[in-house]
Amino acid sequence: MKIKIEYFGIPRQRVGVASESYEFDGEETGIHDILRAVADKHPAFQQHCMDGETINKHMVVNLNGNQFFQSQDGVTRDGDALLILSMDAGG
Amino acid sequence: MSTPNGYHQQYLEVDVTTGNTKYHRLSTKLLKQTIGGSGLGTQLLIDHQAWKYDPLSAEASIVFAFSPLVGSPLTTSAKFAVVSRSPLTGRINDSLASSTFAIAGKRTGNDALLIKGRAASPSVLVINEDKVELQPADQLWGLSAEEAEEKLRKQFAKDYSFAVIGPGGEQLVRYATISHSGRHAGRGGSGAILGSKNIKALAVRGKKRTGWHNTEALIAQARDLSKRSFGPATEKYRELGTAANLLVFNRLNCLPTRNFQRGSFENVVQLSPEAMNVARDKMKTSCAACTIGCTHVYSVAVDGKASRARIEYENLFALGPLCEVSDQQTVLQASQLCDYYGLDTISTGGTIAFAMECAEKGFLDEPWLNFGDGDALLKAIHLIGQNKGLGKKLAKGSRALANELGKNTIAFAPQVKGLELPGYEPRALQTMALGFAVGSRGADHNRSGAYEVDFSEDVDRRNAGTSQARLAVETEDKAAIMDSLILCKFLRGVFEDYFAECVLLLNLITGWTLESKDLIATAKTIVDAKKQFNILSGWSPEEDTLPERMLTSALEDDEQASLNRETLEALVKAYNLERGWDEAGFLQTTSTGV
Repeated sequence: MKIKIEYFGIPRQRVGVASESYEFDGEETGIHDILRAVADKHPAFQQHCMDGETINKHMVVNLNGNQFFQSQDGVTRDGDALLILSMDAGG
Repeated sequence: MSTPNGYHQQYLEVDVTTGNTKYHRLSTKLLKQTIGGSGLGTQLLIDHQAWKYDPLSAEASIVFAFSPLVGSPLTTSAKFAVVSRSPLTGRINDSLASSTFAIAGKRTGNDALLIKGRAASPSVLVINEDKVELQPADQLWGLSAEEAEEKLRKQFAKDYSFAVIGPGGEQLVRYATISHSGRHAGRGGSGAILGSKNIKALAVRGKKRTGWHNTEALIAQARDLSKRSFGPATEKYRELGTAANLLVFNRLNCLPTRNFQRGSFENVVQLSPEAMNVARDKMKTSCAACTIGCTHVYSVAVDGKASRARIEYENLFALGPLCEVSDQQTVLQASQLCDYYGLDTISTGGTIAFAMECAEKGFLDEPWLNFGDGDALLKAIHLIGQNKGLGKKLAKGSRALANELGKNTIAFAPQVKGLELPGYEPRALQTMALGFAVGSRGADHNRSGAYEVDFSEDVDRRNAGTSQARLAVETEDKAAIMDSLILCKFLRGVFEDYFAECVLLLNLITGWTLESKDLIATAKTIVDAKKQFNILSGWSPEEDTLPERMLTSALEDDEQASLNRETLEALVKAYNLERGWDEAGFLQTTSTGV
């Protein structure tokens, strides 16, 4: 299965690209596993956006522009887009 | 009873018609009930019956309110609130800004300055510890706030600080700002109130300091807070500024575009800070006493001359996508022009975008005023700032323009209670839709942080339920405390336990022994007071709504982003009950003494 990751705000600054694709085996992949894969590929993401094995509390993920996930319990399927962004809005 | 630390326990009333001054004592009970800033300012306006008067009349009052934290070593604490009845909305208005004006103003020995009357000619109101006087400002009239402030700095001693209006305030533009070292008390038109009083600037200085109850612990807390303010909670603001929201909001279809017809903008990328950082020189600045440094200033050449423009998300959204203008240079220039004239960028962009749609639909005979036309945008801003031609109509805001045009154009005027909506599409962020509808000063992202709820896993942001009312109340209560203490809202992500940490800071300064629950009760008292002011000024429940178009049609580019009147009314009713008011939104009791 193929997932598109889109980065916004600090995650984009650290990763250095606006988006990239990841491929995983199986029909479903947990958000936690996707974040692990991103962190493995991008050490700066691990350092600035993760808190150990989980995304830090100042970041949030969103699936396909719809549901937000802070618990990282969500599941993705082929063709999904996972957005990773800085938490706070305001301005 | 002795004066609590952090306060002078008095405020100064100045009548600029007569030059008379009066010092009023503030009771400890009232200070505990209102803290300072917005809370204190609102209560003083109620005491002076400011709801009775046309905001631009001589009888109207305007309050500059400081806070117990001003002058302390706490990061972001050099802030003050300007509170009045708004000439744009007719309801309560509180706008905040950061600068040394807060510190110098408080050192005059006052917790607030209340100004009423009308000077006979353009004047500078000079306030220090032992003297209050009016000085001629004829040489300053017509200058931008920045130009006027520069002249004042040369004219006055170094320890003076200034609050200044630009030409927009002089021309009584209903959304004119008050400026301080380039920062603005921006929303609701407080600049027009000073303009109506013939006050070009306030000049303040003093040496009166207020003590701190526990200096050692306060300094330790200040160090810790500063250290945390450099952490990940504020990284986005430091690195990209608030403009970082632009691409996120666009992706989520909540970036208001083409006068709130769409939630995304095709050419958004070139306006993003990510693109500007590559294309332009940039410098970062901070407000006085702030460690975060969220202000990003970009180079912009105007008529061949190099200059700089401050960019925030709200400037970008209102002067870019909302008017469908995508040229980076033009949007920076438009933002710079708003600074020059002293205009609130949100209301400026909102009113122009509305006028563009009216022109497009044939309701307004201004064929040059087209969406996407950068030159038209710049021309319209000049007309507003100079109060000429079409600018005379635009200077009164979108609601007044709609009322003048008729033909139900009010259905798509982007305002609540007369205040133009900031850059959060309410159909795509429906807890925020509630926050906008019930906001005491109108559609407002600074008094309600309900968008935080929409950006969480707790809710479906495009399908609001009444349980979200409680969450909206919580964000509003937090904002009420932030705006009264006063601390910058960008610190909110730094706090682990918001009310506990805020009350600790207040106790360390004052010596009080308040608890979190006391601060939550204070927040409710402050929100109640604002509601009370509005009720006294003529508020009716019908005002707590959104423009008709937002309740009858989905976003063009996101059919899931749809909200109807029944849903919003249910949300508002749930909010009112959560607040302890009746279903319609009237107070059951009042603690404001009126």
